[in-house]
Order: sequence, then structure tokens, then C-alpha cells
Amino acid sequence: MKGQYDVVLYNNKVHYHLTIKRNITILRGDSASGKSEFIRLLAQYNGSPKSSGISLICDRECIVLNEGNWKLYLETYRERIFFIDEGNDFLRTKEFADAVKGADNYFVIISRENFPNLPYSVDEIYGLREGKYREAKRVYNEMYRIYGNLPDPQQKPEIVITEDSNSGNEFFENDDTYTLSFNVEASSRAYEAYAFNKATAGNNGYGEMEGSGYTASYAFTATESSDKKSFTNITSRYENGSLVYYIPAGKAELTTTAATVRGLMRSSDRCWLWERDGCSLGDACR
Amino acid sequence: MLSIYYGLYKGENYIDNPDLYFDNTYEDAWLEDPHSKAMVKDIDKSELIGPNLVISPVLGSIPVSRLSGGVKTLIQIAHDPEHVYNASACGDNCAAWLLRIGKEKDVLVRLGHQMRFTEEPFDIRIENTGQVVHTRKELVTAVISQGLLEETL
Repeated sequence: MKGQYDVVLYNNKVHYHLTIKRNITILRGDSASGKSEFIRLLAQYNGSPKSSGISLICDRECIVLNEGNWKLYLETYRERIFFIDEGNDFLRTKEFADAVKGADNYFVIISRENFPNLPYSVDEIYGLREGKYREAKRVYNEMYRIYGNLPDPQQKPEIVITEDSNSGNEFFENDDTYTLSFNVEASSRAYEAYAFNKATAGNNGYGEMEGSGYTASYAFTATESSDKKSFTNITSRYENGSLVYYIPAGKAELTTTAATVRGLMRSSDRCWLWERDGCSLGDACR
Repeated sequence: MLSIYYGLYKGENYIDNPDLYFDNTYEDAWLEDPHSKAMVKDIDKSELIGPNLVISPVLGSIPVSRLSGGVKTLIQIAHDPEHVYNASACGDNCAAWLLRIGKEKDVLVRLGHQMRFTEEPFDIRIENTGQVVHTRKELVTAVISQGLLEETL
């Protein structure tokens, strides 16, 4: 299943317009923004399409998955768009993650939780908000990308830091950027690839990337010999299927030759590119 | 004080789906509390008339079962000390209310994501470690550096 799909769902009170671009889309955001109401409407529509009073316009069938039907539906259906509300325990299971990876369907997941087993893109995390086309009788709800304001896609990193000397490192070695691998602390797991555009020492190593790429917050330190340097104003985006972090040019430049870089990066949204078996680097996580 | 357990909480009294749990267990008295009415007004932009009626500007007259999952969770955290609720059912617009509840009583909630607590300074106890933090920087750094959200099923 490929391509993007518009999903329009409405009754006489609310009108939703979602555009689903990838196989996994995450919907989150403030409480009371209409996420669960969407699921409620769609479930009612699924149960009784003609007499529910609810209208659905989409080129693909849209179905709500729940604890009782998800296994059967994933085994049975192809080329559907499945919607899953928060509170379903199966969302966090490896069994579900494996089923998603092998499925020819799209999935829209409503949740704020971590799903480290699922390969979704930070670009496909959305919220719902009341749209500007408010009719007298009906409230129009539309999607907005939560982590926007990403760097120029043409920007090229000068240094790429990967978790170790395997997969990610090998991929970027073929690029003309400088690749540096590093070992992650025992407590750390997800580093994938970190790219630096003129690595810079800032005044502090803490920040939250409001509107610039990541939900969470990060603490990032680079240790160069005995001098600890910290970075700030980090932004991120996907490049070649990998989550890439940019540190803008500034006062000091990280020396790549003797550096031991230790990153502490945690977020509720991650791309697990290097954990996927047999994936194509070009389109992984997309 | 507000205590937060990050990650997978395994206690017997844990409620992972507070939205659903509320619908089947709420008590009328909870919905007559002025604090509950204020939460509904703030989060859902709706009027909580009583245990059986909410007036929503979008949906019209609705039962309390159609309140948002976030405000249902807040109401339960405020009124039910017997359970540990999954506060990841709450959006960031609920964070101030969690802190407010924590100022009035000792409550323990669970989070599976980084909620944005913007009203600094605050007192939050990280249940996993016992550490008490007062700023977002302290909280986020502690959660990140100790990998509290790393565990998976």
C-alpha cells in the first residue's frame, strides 16, 4: 500500500479531515482536541455505515482496531487504514509491532506513549485542532504536524555520529561526510545516527526542541579529551531514513579526530532504523 | 506532592485506560465537586452541570462518558486514592492541574511520555528513584539520563 490518503469523516456536529501519508501515523496532542471522538464516530460508522448518520469519504476502507479484533483483521485485510485509540494494551507488544511491519495496511495510532518497537517517523506525528473553516453547524477538525520547523532539507551534515561501528556507520561511510562511531552507555539504546553541521559548543547542554523536531527534551554532552562541551539549539529531521540531529555553527567546532562523544538522548519518538531487518536504508522509517 | 512513576507500572492497583475505567466506576459526588467542574471548563471548554449532564459547545448536551480522556483521568486522580492512573491519557494542557492536585494531596500517577510541566518551580517526586525535582530541566534530565522510559513489553 503506497501513497497518501485523505480521510474525511463527519456527522452533523463535527467534521474531520485527515491526510495519511505513511504506513504509521501518530495522533497526539492536548486533551479534548477530538481524537477519541474521531475514533468513536468511526467505530459507529464501522458498525452501521448506512444508518449511523455518519459519512466517511476515503479511497480506502477505514477500520477501528481494538483488543478483540486486531489479530483477525491484520491477518485478513489488506490495503486498509486502521485506527487505534490509546488504552489498547496490544499497541505496546512486540507481536503487534511484528504484525505491523509485515502488513500491507496503514495505521493511525492515537497515543502519547513510546512505541520503540514501531518504526515511525517524527514527521508523521500530528495533533488535531479546530480548523479555520468553521461552519455555523459543524466544527471542522484538521491535522497539524507537531514537530515542524525542520532545517533546510538541502543542509548537509559534516559529521555523522552513529551508535556503533556497524549498520549506521557503514551506511554513512559511503557518504562523503565524516563518520564517527561511539559506544553508548549500558543504559542507552537508541542513538541511530546523529549528524552535526559544524558541531558547536554552547552554553548549556539542555534544551527542549519546541517546534523544531522532537517532543522531548535532551541532554547532550560531548567529551573531548577532558574538556566537556555541551551543545544547544539542536534540531533534527530525517535524512536517508535516519533521524539526524543538527547542531548549528557557532563559537566552537568539535574536533572529530580525538573526540569521544557521549550522547544522552531520550525521546518519546524515535526511529529504530538500525533495528529493522532487511530494510532499505533509503525508505526505512518512512 | 505529585509523584510520578515513569515507564511500565506493574502495581495491581494500576489503571492503564482511565477513560474506560471512569465510565464504569465514577461516583456522582466526584462530578459535583467544584474542582471537577473547573477542570471540565478548562480542559474540555464545557460546563459540567452535574453527574448526568455536560454542555459541550461542539457536541451539545452529552453524558459525562463523553468527557475527554484527559479530564476523566484528572477527576479520578483527584478523587480516587486507591488506584494509580495512567496520566499519559492526559495532554500537556492537563499538566497544571496535575501539579495543583499534587499541592493539595499526595498522589502517585504513571507517565509513559514526557509531559510538559510549564509552571516552575514545582515539586515532583520521581517514584522510580525517589528523587524530588523542581524544574523541567531537572525532571527531563533525570528521566532521560536514567532511561526511565526505555522499558518495553
